[in-house]
Amino acid sequence: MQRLFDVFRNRAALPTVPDYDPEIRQIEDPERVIIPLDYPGRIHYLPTVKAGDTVRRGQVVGRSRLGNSTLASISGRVREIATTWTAQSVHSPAVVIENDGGEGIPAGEMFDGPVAPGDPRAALKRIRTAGVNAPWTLSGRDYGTGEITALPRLEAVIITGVQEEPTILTSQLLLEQQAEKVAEGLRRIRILLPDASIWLTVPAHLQSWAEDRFSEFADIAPVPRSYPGRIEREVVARLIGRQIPNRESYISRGVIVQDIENILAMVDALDGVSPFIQKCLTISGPTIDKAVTVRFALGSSLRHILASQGLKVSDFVRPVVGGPMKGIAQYSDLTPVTYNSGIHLIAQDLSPFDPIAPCIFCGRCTRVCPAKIQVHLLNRMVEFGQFNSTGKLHPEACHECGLCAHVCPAQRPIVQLLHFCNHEMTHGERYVWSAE
Amino acid sequence: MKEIKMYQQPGPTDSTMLDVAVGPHSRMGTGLAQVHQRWVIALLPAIIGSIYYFGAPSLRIFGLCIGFALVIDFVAERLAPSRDLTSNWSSVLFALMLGFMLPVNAPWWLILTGCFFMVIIGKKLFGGVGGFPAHPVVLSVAVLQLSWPQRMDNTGALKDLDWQVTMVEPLRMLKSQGAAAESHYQWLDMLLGRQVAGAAEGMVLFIAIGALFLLLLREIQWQVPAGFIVGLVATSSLLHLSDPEMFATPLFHLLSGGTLFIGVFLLTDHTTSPVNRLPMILYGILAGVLLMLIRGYSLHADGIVYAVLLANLCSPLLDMIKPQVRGGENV
Repeated sequence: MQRLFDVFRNRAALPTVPDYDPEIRQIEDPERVIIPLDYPGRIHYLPTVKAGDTVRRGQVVGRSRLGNSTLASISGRVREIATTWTAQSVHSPAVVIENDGGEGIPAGEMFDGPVAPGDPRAALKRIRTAGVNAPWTLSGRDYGTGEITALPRLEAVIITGVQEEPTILTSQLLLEQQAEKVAEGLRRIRILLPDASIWLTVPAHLQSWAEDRFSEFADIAPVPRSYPGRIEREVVARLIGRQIPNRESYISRGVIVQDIENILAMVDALDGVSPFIQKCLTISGPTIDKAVTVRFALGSSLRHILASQGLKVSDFVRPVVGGPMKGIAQYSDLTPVTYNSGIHLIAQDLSPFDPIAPCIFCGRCTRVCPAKIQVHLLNRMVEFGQFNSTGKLHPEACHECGLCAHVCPAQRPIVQLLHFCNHEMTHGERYVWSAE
Repeated sequence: MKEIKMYQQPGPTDSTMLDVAVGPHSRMGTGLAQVHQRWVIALLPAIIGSIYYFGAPSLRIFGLCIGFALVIDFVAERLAPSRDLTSNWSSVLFALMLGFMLPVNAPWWLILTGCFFMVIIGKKLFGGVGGFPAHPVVLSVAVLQLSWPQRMDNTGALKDLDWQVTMVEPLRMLKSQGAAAESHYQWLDMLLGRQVAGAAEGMVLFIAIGALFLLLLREIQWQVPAGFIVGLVATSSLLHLSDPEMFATPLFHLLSGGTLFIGVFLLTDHTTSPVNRLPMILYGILAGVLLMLIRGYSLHADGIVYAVLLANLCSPLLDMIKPQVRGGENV
């Protein structure tokens, strides 16, 4: 009956929260990690080690101009510094470390004890040294040139206890299992930013549970189970009461969006317990009975993470890093994973894109678009190369949630058409990465 | 730019057959053929009703329509290949819709001409499915009605049928006798399709069943039929109140001829109807008002095709009413 209902609501394939195993499994260190040094448009590290050096777990291997660091997640020898293909579909210089099974740097040697609360300067320095302020925590898209400018006063902090993709469960599990530590993190943020308003998004069914524990430190914002209600840009706009232009990062408008994992890592760093070298990730897929969540060393390969759970990439046609709506399909199982919190494994493509299907102007894409873009016009303009007429329709508002292509009855790759349009308008030619 | 050498992955990867497709990786997966098949399914109740009432002549109409349309579409695709493939079922759908509006005794050459105008002029010349500004079926019927008015005569087509109802088109009766014509007809007969109309356009109840199916599947939006009925009922009520002798009641207009058929199947067509929600309502209302004005004040007894064509041409204008984009440079 539910299935029939789904067919009639045209919701048959919209991803939902899968059955999951609540335990977070620690997996072993891999033989080799690849630590990318570049996240285009966000941050660029310069390596502080050379090929042939021996590094220990927790040692800084790359540092940015602002003092942010990226750390070795295992002990071993630096094999080389070379360009690698990352899960974000870009090439990036990276440090390749081969595991020699050595001990990491003890926390006592790395940090000089807890940071005194109420000392923002020391806290910021500690967070940068501990690798917590990782590139992916600078949320929002940033097309800027990477120049360092004065930041505005921070007005709002949004802690996402729910990832936007329903198949990624890391934040929710950490929130449930480490509630005291999350409350401690919220308390620290309150001390560091006394004037800012702090929100914590939680799954709707946990609302009263969360209000009991966290309402002292943050406002609780329940988020629905369905994907459209979880899209991060929309949740942020709803909470702060205004829309942030899609091309500007949140932080340039005084808003910070962090997930639970970063809050926990921040607490650890401020207490001088451990740096941020391990991350959680949910493995899900239509053919996987129960989604599992693992904790792995940053820079582990896709193959290592899957093999630890007895999975093989060759059993699936498409390993997607991220979730089913916004994730990126990988062509190799040796891709290092640092950025994303999910792997979605697809065993069979039930509805491939039709590359030649004409648009029939049904307008479902436009009606479903959370940014209210006239997608039905734009995708045709891009198809016929009329980039001059696209500007008035604001294609730059697209944050690529994927709902348009999800509902398209002609199975057109609408997200890619809009992405191409934005790319053409921003760069005007094929964009090439260049080192400084 | 400093050259950095590419990192050579040691060992083979376990991934020779991976499918590097683009996102989103979860889709509803319908396809154009399935969209048009759903519409065809929605038309089936009325077609079955028509075959039940008229028998072989009705079957002949629909068979010839589909046959001619498919052959013309196939030949056109061979001569001028385009992305509008014959296999997407749009020609079948349009052929059935054309059959709905033809008289039961339409000669084969009339159907062939209609199919030619529908497929070649109405659809292919504008770039295939999704490209036409006005509904090809309506365009084709308009051409046929203007060129061969005596052949497109439903009253003549059904004169041999022995029904216990007045065997004249309700709207023609209305034109000649004024509102008094209403007393010749029973609303139940009209609802069940026992009225003089095209091959299947008068099957009001069966069409409503098909429309309900499409509404539940979200193939059509409720705004267009709702706006249409509101516009039609409001205008006809005003006209009826202003001159009860001359203008019939809203119910009579709603049940007679192909009124409901155009409201739920032709006006709601994906390509020719507006996309945003408010414009859809306005478009429906516009079509309803236009239809009533044409019926009330023009020489045509039934102006459905002209109302649809005019409304179709207005839909890009109406679609200029669009919501403010959120999150663009305009914030």
